[in-house]
Amino acid sequence: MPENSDNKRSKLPVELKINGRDVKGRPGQTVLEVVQEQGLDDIPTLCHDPRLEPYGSCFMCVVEVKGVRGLVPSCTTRIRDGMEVITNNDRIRLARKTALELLLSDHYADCICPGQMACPAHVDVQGYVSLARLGYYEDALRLIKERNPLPVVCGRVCVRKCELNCRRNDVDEPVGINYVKRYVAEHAKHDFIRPDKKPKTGKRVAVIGGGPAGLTCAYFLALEGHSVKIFEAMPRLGGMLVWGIPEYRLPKAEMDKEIEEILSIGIEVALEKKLGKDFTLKSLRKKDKFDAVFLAMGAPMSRKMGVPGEDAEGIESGLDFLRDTQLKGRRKLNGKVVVVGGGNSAVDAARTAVRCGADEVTILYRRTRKEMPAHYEEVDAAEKEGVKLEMLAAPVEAITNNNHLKGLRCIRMELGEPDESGRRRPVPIKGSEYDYPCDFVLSAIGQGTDSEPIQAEPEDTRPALSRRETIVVDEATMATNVRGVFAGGDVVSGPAVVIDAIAHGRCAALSIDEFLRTGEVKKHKETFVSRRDVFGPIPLRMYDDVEHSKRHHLPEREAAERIRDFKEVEFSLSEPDMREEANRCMECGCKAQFDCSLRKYATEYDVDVMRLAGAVRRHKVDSSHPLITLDPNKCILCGRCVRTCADILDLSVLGFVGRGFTTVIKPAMGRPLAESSCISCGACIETCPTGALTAKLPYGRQGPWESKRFPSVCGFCSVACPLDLNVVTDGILWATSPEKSGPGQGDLCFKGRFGTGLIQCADRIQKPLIRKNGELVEADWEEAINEAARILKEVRDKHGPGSVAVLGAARITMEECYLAGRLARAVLHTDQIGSFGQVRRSGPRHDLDEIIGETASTCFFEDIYSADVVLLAGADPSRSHPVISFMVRRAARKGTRVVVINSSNIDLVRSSELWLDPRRGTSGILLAGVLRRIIESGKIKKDFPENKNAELESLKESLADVDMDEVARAAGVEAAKIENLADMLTSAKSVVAIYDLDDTIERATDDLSILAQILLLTGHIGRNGSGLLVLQADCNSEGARLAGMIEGELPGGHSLGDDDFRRKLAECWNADLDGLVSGNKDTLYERVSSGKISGALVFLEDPLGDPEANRMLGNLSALVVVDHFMTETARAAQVVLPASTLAETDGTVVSTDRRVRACTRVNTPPGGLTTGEVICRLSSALGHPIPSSKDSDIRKELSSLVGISQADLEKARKEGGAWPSHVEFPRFQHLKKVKLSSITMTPIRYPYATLELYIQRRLARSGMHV
Amino acid sequence: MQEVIVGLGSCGIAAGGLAVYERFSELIEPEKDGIILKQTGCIGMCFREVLVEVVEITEDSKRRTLYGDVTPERVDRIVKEHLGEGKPIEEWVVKEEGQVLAKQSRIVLRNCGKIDPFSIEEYQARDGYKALENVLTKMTPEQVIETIADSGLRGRGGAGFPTGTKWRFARSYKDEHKYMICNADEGDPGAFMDRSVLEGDPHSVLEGIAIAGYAIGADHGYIYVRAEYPHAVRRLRHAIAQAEDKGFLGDNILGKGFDFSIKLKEGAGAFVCGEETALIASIEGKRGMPRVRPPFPAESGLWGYPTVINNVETLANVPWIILNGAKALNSYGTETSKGSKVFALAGKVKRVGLVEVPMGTTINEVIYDIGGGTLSGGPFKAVQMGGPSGGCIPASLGDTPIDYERITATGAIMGSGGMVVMDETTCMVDVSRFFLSFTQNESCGKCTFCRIGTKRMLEILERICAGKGEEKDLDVLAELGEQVKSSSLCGLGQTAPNPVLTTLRYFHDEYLAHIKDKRCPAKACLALVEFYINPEKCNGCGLCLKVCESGAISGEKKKVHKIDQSKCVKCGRCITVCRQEAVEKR
Repeated sequence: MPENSDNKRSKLPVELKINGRDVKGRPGQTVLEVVQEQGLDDIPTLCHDPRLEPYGSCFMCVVEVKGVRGLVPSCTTRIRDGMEVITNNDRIRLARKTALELLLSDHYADCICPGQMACPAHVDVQGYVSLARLGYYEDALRLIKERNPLPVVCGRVCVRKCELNCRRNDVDEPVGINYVKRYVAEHAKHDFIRPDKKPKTGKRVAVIGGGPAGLTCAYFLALEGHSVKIFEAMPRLGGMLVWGIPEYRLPKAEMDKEIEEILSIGIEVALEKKLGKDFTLKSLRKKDKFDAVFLAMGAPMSRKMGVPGEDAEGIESGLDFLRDTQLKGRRKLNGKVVVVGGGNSAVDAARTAVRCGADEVTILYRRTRKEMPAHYEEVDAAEKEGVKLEMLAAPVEAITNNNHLKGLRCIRMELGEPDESGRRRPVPIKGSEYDYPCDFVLSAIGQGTDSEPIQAEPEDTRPALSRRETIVVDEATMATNVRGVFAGGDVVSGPAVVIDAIAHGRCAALSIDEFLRTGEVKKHKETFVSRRDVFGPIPLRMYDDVEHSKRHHLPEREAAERIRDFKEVEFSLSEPDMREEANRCMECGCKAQFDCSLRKYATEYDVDVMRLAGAVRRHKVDSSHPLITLDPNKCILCGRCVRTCADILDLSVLGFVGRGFTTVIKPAMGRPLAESSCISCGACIETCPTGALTAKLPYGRQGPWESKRFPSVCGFCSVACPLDLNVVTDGILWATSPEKSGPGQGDLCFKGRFGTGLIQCADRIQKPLIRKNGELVEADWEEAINEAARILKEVRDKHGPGSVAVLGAARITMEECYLAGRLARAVLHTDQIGSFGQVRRSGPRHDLDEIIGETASTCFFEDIYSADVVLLAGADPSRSHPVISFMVRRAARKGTRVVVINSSNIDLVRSSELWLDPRRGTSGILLAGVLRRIIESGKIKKDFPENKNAELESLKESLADVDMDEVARAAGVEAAKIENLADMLTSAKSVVAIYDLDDTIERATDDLSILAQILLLTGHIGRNGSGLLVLQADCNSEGARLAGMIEGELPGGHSLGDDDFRRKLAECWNADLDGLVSGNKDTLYERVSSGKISGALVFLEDPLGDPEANRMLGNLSALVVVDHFMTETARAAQVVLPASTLAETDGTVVSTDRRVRACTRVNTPPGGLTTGEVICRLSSALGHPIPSSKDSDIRKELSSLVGISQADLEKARKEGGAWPSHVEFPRFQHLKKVKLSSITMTPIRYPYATLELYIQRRLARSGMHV
Repeated sequence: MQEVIVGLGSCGIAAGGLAVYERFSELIEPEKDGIILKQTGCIGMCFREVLVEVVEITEDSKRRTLYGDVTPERVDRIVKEHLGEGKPIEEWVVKEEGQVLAKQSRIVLRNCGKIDPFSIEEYQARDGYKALENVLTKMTPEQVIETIADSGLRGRGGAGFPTGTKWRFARSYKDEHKYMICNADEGDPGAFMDRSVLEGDPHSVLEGIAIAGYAIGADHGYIYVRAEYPHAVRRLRHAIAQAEDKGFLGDNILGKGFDFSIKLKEGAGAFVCGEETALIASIEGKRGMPRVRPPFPAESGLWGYPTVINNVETLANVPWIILNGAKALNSYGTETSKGSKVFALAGKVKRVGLVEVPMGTTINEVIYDIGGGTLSGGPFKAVQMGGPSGGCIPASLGDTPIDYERITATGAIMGSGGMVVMDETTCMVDVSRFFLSFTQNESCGKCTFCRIGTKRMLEILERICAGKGEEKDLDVLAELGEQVKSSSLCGLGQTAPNPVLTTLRYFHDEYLAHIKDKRCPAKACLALVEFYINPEKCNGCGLCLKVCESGAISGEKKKVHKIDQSKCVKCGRCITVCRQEAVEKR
């Protein structure tokens, strides 16, 4: 909590000028705070975190202050009266840019994987490979289609620049990225992910040419809401995909399906309409009123060899040959065929010639095989099919007879100096001419554009042409020199590959959209990409930890078989092979690529990494920790993690090691993180502005994926911390602190931060299970619900209403608790409901009911910060409620005096001023000593009500036996310490006492009631900022109480004996609730232990995992379990139903300090039904239909019953408000005599926290002790 | 009676002073000879160490004889002839003393070289601790502050903040504790003023701290001293113990109810710990890293309490001002800078040593009149003032009078008082590279510009020195330099580019020579020079051939030798051994 001394002195607003505007701020605020709070500018900062003290090291937030020579960091500059501040000008921008360039000059990291970088369309390779690996094919496809609408086509014919640049080339073989894409494109449901079109804009665009560039451009424009019409000269769409690529490589039916999918979003098509013949650019613009035109006519013209005799019969262009084959079907070729050229078209022509029955097919190429532009795998395939390669030779003349081809005269070549393409130039060897007899020659030495229609345009609509007769465009926007006319694909680049055309199409679509919306053509800002390769070759030691693995290959048909037809040659990988291949990805791209501040600012400030390049440090990544990766290569030394760890958590696990340029952030002595004292809370990840600290997700693959944030709540303990769920798709999510957490907020412990995602993903029960022939087998909901209803009803009917219990941990939502209570009482006619874990620990506790009205917290967690004294009476929050321990430590740093009463040297003793260590079971006596001293000292609160004097006397009496010496002796604590505590409590302005209701180790007779009475008599209950905090077992323990999921208490805390309320409830539920009281005088524990329970419905609880409970409950004749995981109890059940998590409902959780927290449904429960829906279905099956299972409807009903307005409840949900509201917190009612005895309970290890254990097991498996 | 005083400052010890002292103690029997053997701190004329002073005391006079370059061998003759026979050995007497002292005014150094630093009695004999007594008996803290403020004393650590003002701030904050810290973390290369004062006159510093403590209301003092100054540490410890014994430190000082103790804290050698907030962090046991100001230490310093940090020299001034009055100091100096300033005169100057001159003395006066000019006898080329935070002042500005403002105007800073003289053999690019490599190494790593910016600047300078510089590098240097200055949290970063920026300003041509002509005019950058044997001088003695380890030199006896440039590694051994000075650089 940043606090500053200026604050103390003046409360008047400070008046200053920021960017010429008059602004008022509070004294002590920094310039940055004022600017941010009032939204005056978006000042960049890397080292500042509002949760931490100003630090001022990155110098990104610099501003100009009038009268100050240099720039000043706004994060550390306090506002002054009359100050004049400028937050943005050229000088400031230059300084910020330089700071970024310096930081990035020592940032040895890749933002995105090199494959994505190399892909002309920048498809998120790593993202979709990860999703495919995890089986999320539709999500993978959606990701691909964000940049490439032709994945089916590319999956077959792409030249795979991604694979050529894959880092795995440095290790063994590149990842089969395209194989994965092909699998996804072939197996995902395309119509599932059809994106939404934006509303119609009324703008019209003509796309000339239906090849990949035109289709892509049309697709993205149509998505933006523009009306698009494609004009295609040929009778079908596809361009070179149709006419240039043979059927055996790309089945046209598959291609057509993909084109159909593109057109299905609403694109008009006009076939056999040719530019220059059927229309002109001018006519499109002037007559047909198209707002923009995209030219993508391709390069369909064959280039000639330029040798004498070329026009002889028997010589044709490879392209014509392929086109004719496509148009007219296979024709028979007899004799020897020579294909001239080395590109993909040449290989396609040769392989097609083989399929046309040629006796011998030879490819004649002037360089060597290594230099062939065709994909090497294509060349391999051609050779397998019998194609011969004649390398280092070129035709010089066609040998003809009567204009009839007889052969080719060729000349031998040798390789000379490299040319501008980097390949060695072929040089003819003089006098090496030789004749190559043949019957056909297919020339495939290149293609050109058809520039005639362009040249025919009138000047004002004629785009400029290059020397090569391609259209000249601005490559950043694809705009031609004619306003509103854009071009892309081969007509711009000359013959290129499909993915280039797709990239052009998308780029043009973006520019055209911009043009249509604003009338301007602007360069789209590319996101900055940091790349390791710019610092030179990557040292191979960086790959030391990579396991070598073989690349999979596509299954293919035998060569002998496939040359007989045009059916497809290669098939997709099998699913297991594809997943293995996807698993080979080394995940080079940064996990923080979507939310890295450094990257964001580098983009914004348009940095040039090389400008200040110099020595760069290369570090080993520390991945020793099971949950956290520390990559010092990405660290910018802002120190936020170091300061968070030290100042917020008081731990100092991380620190600066070394000095100056060589400084690095690491645990002490440079040890690995796993060997440090890290408590895995992950707060360092949260604050890191780059990807230097990242979380390991529990998904086997780490993405990275872009996510959306939704507010939710942590379900692991009764603190119920608010958190954000970062959701990628159903099944992939993780937790972070809520966005914009201020000082003292945003804490999460390892359970919340890492467990929330973990419980979501693995080993969940996916389907209802029914026991058949002794085995649990999958069943559908209908069957399972009916079976559950049947067996519960059978027990109830046979043994009476008291024979069935409803057990549940309060980790279900308040709404679900309410429904469970209704099911128990209205349907099963039993009041035996509650957490058996709590029951086992001899709860529920009613110690304070008489004293303050109920046994609950009387203040808020935040009060810890402002308290003079925090008293931990038996509670050990570091173990059970870590976030509370963070709060206490932080308070201690700021001067709060911490007192620990605990028999053990617990973690927080370190932060305490006073530690009283009574023998186990004697803390009650110790507290009695304190109470007696307080009473005797006469320092009880001044306004002690007189009518309670008699009670006070009798309380005193009950304390008569213990004098201080006796207390000290019994507890084994020095009297002076006990007196010291008593004095601290009487003199403190505010005291917060923390007690753990479910602790069975430190508990002593009447300890809680004595503690509460100490607080009452010293005036610390019933006053803001002071009071008692009780910690409970489950996140929703308090919500469960309020919703009535507790034995003997109806919703709203009304006692079962409250006849009026019971009648009201019976009416609301339309049920008979009369039998509930008399039947069960004994407690749930007693009934269970005496064997009176024969059936149970269990929610998220595992009583059979506890040997003692197992002994008592082991012989149930009916057991229905609703849970996430197969617990011991689930394994013994007749029916098991999948439960939902907090991420799967819109329900409510109430923390133990009564903060109301809302969940957001962001995930589909595995079984499809939420726990609430399960209860409702079960209730219906038992003959009691519940009108709605909707969370909001249930809240409406609940609020009407318990007397809070629904609006108030919804407001509390939204704002994390308190319920009951603050004023209704428990107050002084009566003093109560106390019993003094020392007891020791056997600590109970009831496995109530299945989820925690589950996480801990997972972590322990990774070698981490938590 | 005779006294023999051996100079045992670090300079004296380094020159062999301990052996000289030992030899005297072997030869002299005090009781029998009536000769007292003593030691003292730095006398100031380090260029003549080991210095030995012989004082002959008669009833009405004292005759002093100062010997320089004394060796244990020479001791025998001094004992025999001077002490025994009363015949001073004229040829060993230091004759420059008069010239050296003529332009000096020794306020801070008033006792240095005069008293035995281990003897509090000698300090007291020269009015030591009288100022403290005066203050405690006759003055209120406010009066002390006013006196210091009136004297015009400014911080001698480099920044020149008015000392009285600083004290007044600290005085104005009320708190249960306050701290007075003496910054003795002198770390500039070539600077040794503070060390000499601590070694030569530790009590004056202790007295200054105690007076300051009284003035601001502190109860504890710290001296943060470099651990690399073992003699200073030892003498300070001894002095603190003596002062405590005598009741000048501790509880109820001089019975006046003032409690004040001083602790010594040895720094671990990080240059940045001379920065006050980093120094405080270091005392607190944290990583020595500067923090944001405000709050200034005077408001919230050590452990969060009001704290004043003054440098050694500043504090050594304090007792003198109290005893002599504010006006006494005020009478020295210029309009804005009062009193004197101690400089460590080093580099290519004849008389290396410690000098104290009144503010306003010109650079030329210090170098020529006191320092005796350059070693080579020619004009100096530049003088580096202020250490790594300072800059190089060219000879053309030699008439600049020394005061805070005027030195700052040249681009250099007063600094703590390092003054390194350079002549034609000094390469200014190399000098700025040297100083920048120092600061770059000593950066704590916190601020982006200081951490990476200085690294990049250094890389550019290294490239230029290696002959691989480009002209645009100079623009980047200047731009980065300005940005590092304006975008760093503490003084280290804010001043680190000064040596580069001043040399760029005054010696631009020299940079261009490196870049364009690939030539180092001073022939100091080895990558840009080659060694060759001047055939006119070589007599073929073969000495160079023998010492050349890379086998680059060939030649027959009595014939001119040659250096094979492809093998030469430019180690320079041939130059050292050649008696004909035939090996030259070009």
